[in-house]
Amino acid sequence: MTTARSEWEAPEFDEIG
Amino acid sequence: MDGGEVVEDVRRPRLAPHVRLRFDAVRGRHVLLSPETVAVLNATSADILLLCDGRTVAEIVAELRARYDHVEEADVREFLRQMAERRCVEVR
Repeated sequence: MTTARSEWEAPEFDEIG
Repeated sequence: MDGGEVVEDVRRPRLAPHVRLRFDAVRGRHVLLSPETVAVLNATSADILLLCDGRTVAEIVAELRARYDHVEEADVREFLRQMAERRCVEVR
């Protein structure tokens, strides 16, 4: 019979003013 | 709710009306546009915001667990709290 799963990464963001 | 409250399982976070989630082809990443700033998101933060479509926090975490290994629920809650604090997400 599988869908590859990604390893979890902490959610992050870069703010650009 | 303000950003200081705990993001509980039954809450339904949604993008605030004044923000737009877009895919930036130049950066190859999603960006969150608000009147004051642009936030460049990594893959997991973009996925969380894309799932803020009326689902509960518990449903968002469950969907992320179907896509990723070793999802840290605390990461999801903390990210949503930060977004709520910045008024980018409304948590009802």
